[in-house]
Amino acid sequence: MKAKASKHFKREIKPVKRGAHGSFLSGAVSVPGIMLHVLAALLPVIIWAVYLFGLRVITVIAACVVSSVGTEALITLILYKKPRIGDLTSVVSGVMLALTLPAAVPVWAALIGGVVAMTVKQLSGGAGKNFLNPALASRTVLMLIFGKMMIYTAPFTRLPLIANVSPELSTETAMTALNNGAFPREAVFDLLSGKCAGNMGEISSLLILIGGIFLISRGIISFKIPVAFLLTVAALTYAFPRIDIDSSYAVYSLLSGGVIFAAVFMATDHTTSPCTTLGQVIFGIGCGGLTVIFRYSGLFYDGAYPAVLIMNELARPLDLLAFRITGPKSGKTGKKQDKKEKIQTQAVAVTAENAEIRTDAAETAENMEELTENAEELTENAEITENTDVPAEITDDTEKRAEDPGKETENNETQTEDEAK
Amino acid sequence: MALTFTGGIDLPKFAFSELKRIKKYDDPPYTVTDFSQERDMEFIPSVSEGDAVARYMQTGELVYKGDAVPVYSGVSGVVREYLRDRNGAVCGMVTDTDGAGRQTELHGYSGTLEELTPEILTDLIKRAGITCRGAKRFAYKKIIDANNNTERFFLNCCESEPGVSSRKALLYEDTEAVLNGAKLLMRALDVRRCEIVIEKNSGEILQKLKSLTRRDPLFDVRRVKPKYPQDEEFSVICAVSGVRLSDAAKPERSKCTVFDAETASAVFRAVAFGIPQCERVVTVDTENVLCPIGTPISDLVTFAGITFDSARHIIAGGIMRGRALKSSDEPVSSETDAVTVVYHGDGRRIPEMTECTRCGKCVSVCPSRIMPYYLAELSRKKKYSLCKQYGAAACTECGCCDYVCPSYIPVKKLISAAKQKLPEDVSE
Repeated sequence: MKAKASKHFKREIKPVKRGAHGSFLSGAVSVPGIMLHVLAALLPVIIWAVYLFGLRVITVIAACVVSSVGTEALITLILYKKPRIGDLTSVVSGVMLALTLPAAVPVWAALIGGVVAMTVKQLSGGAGKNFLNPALASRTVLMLIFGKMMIYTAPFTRLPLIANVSPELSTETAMTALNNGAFPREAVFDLLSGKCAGNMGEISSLLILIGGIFLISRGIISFKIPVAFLLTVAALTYAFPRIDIDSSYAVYSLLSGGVIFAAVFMATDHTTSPCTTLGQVIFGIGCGGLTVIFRYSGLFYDGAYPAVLIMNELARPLDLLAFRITGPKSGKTGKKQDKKEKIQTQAVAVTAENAEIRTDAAETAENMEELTENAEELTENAEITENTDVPAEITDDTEKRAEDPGKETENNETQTEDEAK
Repeated sequence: MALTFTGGIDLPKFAFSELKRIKKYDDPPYTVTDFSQERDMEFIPSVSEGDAVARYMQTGELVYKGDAVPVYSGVSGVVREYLRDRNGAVCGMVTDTDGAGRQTELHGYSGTLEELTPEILTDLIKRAGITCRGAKRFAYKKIIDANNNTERFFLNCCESEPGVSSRKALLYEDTEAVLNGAKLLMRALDVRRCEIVIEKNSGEILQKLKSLTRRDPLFDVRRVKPKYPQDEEFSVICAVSGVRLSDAAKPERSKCTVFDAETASAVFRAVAFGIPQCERVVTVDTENVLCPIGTPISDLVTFAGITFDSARHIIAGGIMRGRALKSSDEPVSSETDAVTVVYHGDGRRIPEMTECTRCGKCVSVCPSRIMPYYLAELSRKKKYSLCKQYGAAACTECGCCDYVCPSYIPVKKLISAAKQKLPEDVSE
């Protein structure tokens, strides 16, 4: 069995040794290192949740982590893959999943959640190949199936360590109030510092932002996605408030629910978010736009998570699109030119689609400017290629070659002179 | 705020710390001229096997796409044998040194400075066989291409890699030659101003350059952030002039021309004394050695006092871009700026590679603004035509992606493998 597994491993991954052509330096933070950074950033959030809801938080997190790590180990074993539990990705997925659930969630639901998360991840190719964020996918499944069991309790309610929480304890969260088109009871400061009901991870916006700043300062995540995400949500809710209460609706909709948690920890997941700058900005704007749309339509408890989940699938296409818009241009010939034009029109179409989501007219205008600039460049390119006279070069070549023999004889003469000396 | 370009990485040890004087290494036991690695390049020898050659004597001619420059011998000796490539064509020669110290007579430019037209200057540069960055890029060709199309001229004094100080050493010991060479290049290019691009932490050299050029309206010193890879032409242009990368890669659009400090020095020596390009400064571990081009690296390493047993790798080039030697008798070429020695027990072993997690680090550091992770993936799947579409040709193989990859994927190696297999454009 073991020998077979290793054989499969060899067939699957072709290790390319760092030899003659690779760089001899590596200053990288390894994958486990990145995951440790994320866990460190999540630590204050977890501690705050324990402070509010007691040790049941630890139980739920442990259930999620154990079931996700176990499931990953099992699936890799079945698929003859080399288990990579040491890279901590499954641990992080488990913790993330737990933090998007309320503390009063049944422990068996958390266990199922871990299994679903790792199935989503491993069956789409394992770490680095999954196109959905495992934690988010699992959370959405749990919400769809066990939606009734997601009970939100008020802070400092005594919760049993393992046993199920009775539905009588449930309270209204700021998010449900917003969903019902009402004004949340909590004060803004309580929402910011985190003295309110809600999912474990998303209570204290302040601690989440601190974790995010830590990750950005260590270069683990890029600031572009969270900033684009949150700005879009703020702008949309400011421009189109659902309830007309001065300008604080935007503040409330930012601070309640999981927008900030989704923006900082979920949307920045490496595997399921774009890498290019333009891609990241579009991704963030798309997440924000969809969040607001989902929230206003009221299909889900919180629109932020399904919004990120939907944008996840667009991560790779967005990267490729961004590269075509901003990357170096390699097209030179007429044939390529046609192709490029096609791509340009596609790009225009896609950005037009995105423009529906956006409200910032200025940003779309900027994009259009870029596109027109690109088009100008392309036409310039075409001119350059047309202007070059190929035949002239060839004649030059022949002339120079004709000169060459003469030179050689000269050289020979000088050489003989040298010998004579 | 110092000028800089997008992408790139801050490397430890990049700061130019110590100034090592240049040592001279005149008499390697033999020299090797080898152009077998260069594609589409012909070497036509003008001496035959067994002939005696003198120092600064022409030994052949390099032909690339119809342009030709002479190749000179850096030592006085006897041609032992020709090197032949797979097809049997001559691609180089081995010359044994005889120690006689014969030297051909050199004639510098004797006319007045007013008579030194760009045409004469270009011809002198061509006859000196000066190449910049690799044997394929003839300096005179670059001048002709850039002529009448240059608005800004940069003199690149930035160091290429961490731990390499050959350019700085040359600049420090021969500042006048470099500046005069820059003036000659300005005359050839017909520009009025030269911008010297140098890292802001260059200390003594920066002071010296500043004091020399303070009253000179021809020169401007531009300080840039010490970052890797600042010495690439496009990163110099991007950093100082702030043009877009897609323009910087095409000199005819950016109207900027970059010459390296060693090219400027070679131009001055060629014009003033008639010395052809056949020597260069190489940083060997920590020493700077001036040696004839073609010196076997093994002799150079021994000259610098390093024993082979203590070294784990001997790398031709710097630690980022270099290539580990398979055999130690590979020669110093005109582009070898350093020989890096990795000792046993140096650093840590790079762990085994794992799957790419699309963290995007390589994308954010890539100075060419391509997507290295995607190209590496395509290269592993052998989809080379897609590689071309996604800009594999724009890769400069700087190795930043390798440096930051958390999965330790040899991205640079995969992309360079793809680059060699890119489908040719049929219509070109």
